[in-house]
Amino acid sequence: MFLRLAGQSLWSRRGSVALTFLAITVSVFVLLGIEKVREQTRASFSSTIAGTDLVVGARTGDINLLLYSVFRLGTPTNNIGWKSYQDILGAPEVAWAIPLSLGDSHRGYRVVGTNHSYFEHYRYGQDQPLRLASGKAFESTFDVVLGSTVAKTLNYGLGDKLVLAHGLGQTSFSEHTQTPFAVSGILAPTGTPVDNTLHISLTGLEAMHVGWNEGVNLRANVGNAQQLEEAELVPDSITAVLVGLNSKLATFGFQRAINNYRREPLLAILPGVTLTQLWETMGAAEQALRLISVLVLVASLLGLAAMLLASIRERQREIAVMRAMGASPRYLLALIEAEAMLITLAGCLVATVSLELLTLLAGQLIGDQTGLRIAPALPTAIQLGYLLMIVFGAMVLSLIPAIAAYRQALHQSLA
Amino acid sequence: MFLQGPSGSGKSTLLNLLAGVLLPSAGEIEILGRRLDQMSGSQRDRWRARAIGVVFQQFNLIPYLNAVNNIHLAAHFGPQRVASDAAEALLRALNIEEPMFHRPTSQLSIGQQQRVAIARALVNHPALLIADEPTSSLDARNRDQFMELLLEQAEASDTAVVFVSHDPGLAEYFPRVEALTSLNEAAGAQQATGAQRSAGGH
Repeated sequence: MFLRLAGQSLWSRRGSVALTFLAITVSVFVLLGIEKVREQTRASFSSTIAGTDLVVGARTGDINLLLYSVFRLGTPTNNIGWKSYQDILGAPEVAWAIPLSLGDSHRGYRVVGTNHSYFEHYRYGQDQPLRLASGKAFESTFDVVLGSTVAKTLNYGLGDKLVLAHGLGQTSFSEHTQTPFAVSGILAPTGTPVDNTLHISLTGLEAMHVGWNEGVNLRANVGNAQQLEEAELVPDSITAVLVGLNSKLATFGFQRAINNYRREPLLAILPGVTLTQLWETMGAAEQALRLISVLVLVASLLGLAAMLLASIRERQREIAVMRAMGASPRYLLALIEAEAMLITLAGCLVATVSLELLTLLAGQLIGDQTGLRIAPALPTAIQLGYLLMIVFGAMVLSLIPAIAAYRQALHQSLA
Repeated sequence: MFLQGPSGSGKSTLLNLLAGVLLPSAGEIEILGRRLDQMSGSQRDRWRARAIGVVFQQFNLIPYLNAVNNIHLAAHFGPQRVASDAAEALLRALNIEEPMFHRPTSQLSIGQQQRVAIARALVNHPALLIADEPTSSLDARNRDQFMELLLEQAEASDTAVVFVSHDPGLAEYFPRVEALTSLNEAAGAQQATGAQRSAGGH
């Protein structure tokens, strides 16, 4: 009876109740949404790279190097020489080294020039290797291996021919039209930026750029694709190297050695450490966002309290009737609290469900745009903590109207 | 019992005292053998739910609940649950048509609302029913019907009725009639003794 009374009471004021409910829903949605993006971004970033001890590139910021080499975000500032790569590969501490060469794209997806060690040694998530869903790794110069998202969104299959573009833009005016690539393999989904990447061999990358200089097609007298395929092309520079060491103990020593490399200025970073730096940098922005969303939430809970307080005024007669029936002032306090709880719980529930629904519907789109995997999930402990705090906050703020009802009940006479 | 008095003669104060909502600032109040001034607030609330039924001039019902649920709510505060059948039987006895049972009471006519109010006030079989000008917003025909139903149902549930009105025409329905003005004179005379008694008790 108690809950029915509270429910019917809210229903009788459904206009203002609906607006209050919407305000709470939206603000809970924003708060949980920010938290979800934060958690999943971190999880997604952290699971992108595993097993790599050092990332080596040209001297730049640590975070910048990590972003462009591993996450395919931002632009590489400079390249490192091929000789440096060979020196790293030849060092006794090094178990494997994956060369990465960046700078080209295909319809907004980035192209990485690399070699077979990429498919052998690259690890993500819980030390998982890359797996080909179909086809095989590149063998000839003009083979390309697609990440799963690239293949899916651009609808490419094995054997399809595609033309890569110079530069990283969504649309490019300088395309490598003379050297089309054929799809030789498609990788299984990983939930990392690998899904959004096209992989070609370093040789292919070189062949594509023969006759180009500083990003301009000089249309010099270069051979046709057939001749380029037969030529022994060796790159003279690459963008970054992912290094696996024989022993973790050697990590810091080898990092120092690379940072002091004589031939050219190099930078070696530990991906885990740099990720932590990245979170610290983003922490302030996250805190600001969270603070704003908490304030929005408080505003909407104050709106709830104000709405209920205003309703007490128009419920004077109702309170008198309930008193006559034998309702105690405490009963009326509880009734107002129950009404506040019904609205708040409904708001929390709808916000949580719609957030998960939205991630279910838009997760793919977000993933394609940013390479982040945002997936529906049960609320995490932090999210549940937020929900509890919201309910508790609503309970406390609704004491204002609830106590008003209590006092009204206590002092109001019947007639 | 019929209490007649013009407005300002202390009707509502008396009603609030009878219902245990107000307490006298001095002296004792004993109703149905219970000393209300010695009970706690929540004891009085429980006692009121069980022993007293109230019918006001207007606004007797929770407007957003339907007739049946208004009766259930009164029973909810009272000693026991009431089956829906019993609530509906009570409404039928008060000439409420079936389609009205499940409409919000704000959609009922005043006459219908006042009759539902009788059902609500009597559902817990209180020992005492307090009616405060319940007919003042009814027309003559509705008023007569209301009075008959009220007294009939009160008799059926063995409930005493204290009926307050300024309208002397209603006095004919009651075996005992008092004028509030004369009660007030009596009270004025007793006030001194009441104060003495409470002072002497300490």
